[in-house]
Amino acid sequence: MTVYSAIAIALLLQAAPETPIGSTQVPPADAVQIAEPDEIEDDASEAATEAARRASQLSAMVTVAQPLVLVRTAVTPDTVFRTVDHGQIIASQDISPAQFVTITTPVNNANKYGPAGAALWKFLEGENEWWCWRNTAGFPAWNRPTDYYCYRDADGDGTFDELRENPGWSESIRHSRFIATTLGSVERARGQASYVAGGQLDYVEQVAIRYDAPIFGAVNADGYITKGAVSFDVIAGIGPQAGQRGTSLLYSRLVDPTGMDKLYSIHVALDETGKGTVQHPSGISIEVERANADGTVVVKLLSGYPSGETSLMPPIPALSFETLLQILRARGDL
Amino acid sequence: MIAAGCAAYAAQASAQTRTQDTAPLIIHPPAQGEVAIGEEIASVRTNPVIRLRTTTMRAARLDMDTDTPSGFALAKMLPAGTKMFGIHTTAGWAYCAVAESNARWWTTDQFVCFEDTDKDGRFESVMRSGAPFMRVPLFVFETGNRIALQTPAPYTQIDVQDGPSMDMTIYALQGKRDFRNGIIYLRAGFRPDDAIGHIPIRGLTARARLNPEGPTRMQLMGLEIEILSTDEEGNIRYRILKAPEEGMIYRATMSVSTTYTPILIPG
Repeated sequence: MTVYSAIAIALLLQAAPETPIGSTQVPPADAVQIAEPDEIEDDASEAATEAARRASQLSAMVTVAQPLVLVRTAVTPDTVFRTVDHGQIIASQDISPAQFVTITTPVNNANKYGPAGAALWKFLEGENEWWCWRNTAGFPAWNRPTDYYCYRDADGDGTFDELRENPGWSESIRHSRFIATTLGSVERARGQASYVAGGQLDYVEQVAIRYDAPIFGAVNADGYITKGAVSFDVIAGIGPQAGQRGTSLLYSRLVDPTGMDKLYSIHVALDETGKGTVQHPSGISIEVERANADGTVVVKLLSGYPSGETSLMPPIPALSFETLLQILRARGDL
Repeated sequence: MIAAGCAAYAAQASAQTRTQDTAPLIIHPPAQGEVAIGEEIASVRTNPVIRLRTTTMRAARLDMDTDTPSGFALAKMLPAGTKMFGIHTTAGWAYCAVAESNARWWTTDQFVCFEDTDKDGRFESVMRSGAPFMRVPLFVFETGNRIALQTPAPYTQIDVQDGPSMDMTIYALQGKRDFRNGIIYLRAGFRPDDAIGHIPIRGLTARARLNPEGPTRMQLMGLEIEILSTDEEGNIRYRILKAPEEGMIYRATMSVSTTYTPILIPG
């Protein structure tokens, strides 16, 4: 369960065209008196809906830490609808880090933190720019993912003032060399690193849209789904790889045959006729003509990520820690 | 010294939560005439108000006797005709059957799930996929490692109505705290494979306060009932006004919290 999926579900509850199956339905007011909140047992759906309502009221949006990415290829929009099944990729685009600097003077223990000449790629955390390095010489080494070290030059004087460490093993994005979702904790290293602008890393990977499944709805007499939603996953990584190293246990836990990890989900709400369209803040637009009861969907991809520099993961509502915990608890994830 | 260090470190055990979505389920409406509409029912609290047949979105049938690498004390061969239900893997579908235990003192029934990645109508790999999650028959938590089948196993897709199914059950219950408050709940959940108990699903609940002036109407998932009276034993008298008329898609999230206790091994 990622922060993204928790929030996506919470927001979908808001966007749903009709009360989803999982929520309490209110009986006729003249027949029933609804229990007062202090008289009732804890109820997950109410808590989730309340958390979603509060989330939607917050106008502040935040962007999670992530690399600045160069989208190198454009998608070709569909001109006709096509039928896709669970797990099928409907679009893929090449991506790489967008901007680089190069270390001129490293900190002590340069093998760990990045040697002179190492290229660092740009990472964004809110308004702040960071520059990240990772020892990818053994990539993919699934049983020993390497740490990310990210530097920040707060005063812009050409030397780094702050250093953070993200232990790779705790990162949810495992199949990418440069995508991470956190900078990690403050790291103390001896010495001060300096850098110059420019550099190069041959990290070309993919971001893709993969159809997942219907997540709720009604099945009508014609065998298609109405008043519900279908889900697409946005995934990224190096792509399918063969012959990875690692023990069988770790291999099965950590290695996905697609070589991609999920960044977030896009949900398309279906109306009473079973149709729906979404225009996602990422730039991705999808039109669903019909979702079938066998899990397939008739779909048209209208747009993908725009070419050029962008952030893969769009802003999310600025949830308080308590609200987020409430959403996760309501869904049974804590 | 080392032992003390190990003990101190081990005390910092950390809990981790893993979640997994079930394959989307179809909760089928009852057949015409299956539910007695308008009939007054005096129910003890252990009886569900309604049972709804639930399947996943796909089903298949093995066309040939197939040896499986299921574990110790589990059936090693699935006969032709074995019915399987479809679940999601990351990139496609797998079809799961049950390898029955032949030594229940040792193990429960376990899933074996097959994959046909090249979509040629024959399964080429199989996975040992563990026991049903919380004993719910169609819930597979983790598919497991892929093992190549020595002989690809042909199969045929069949209508989900003819495939494996389980019951979703909806119970009407009184609030536990004080029967005089008259809070009534409708709770939906799944019936475990041994048919004892009810695994409730969070969020699939409706509630209402008993109306002292007359019947109390409640709705959940297309079911509409009228509560007529209750007693202090927790039994409820009700009548069904409307049964679900459409199938419903539902996907649950399975969640497991595990506590890891790191240890240090001097080496």
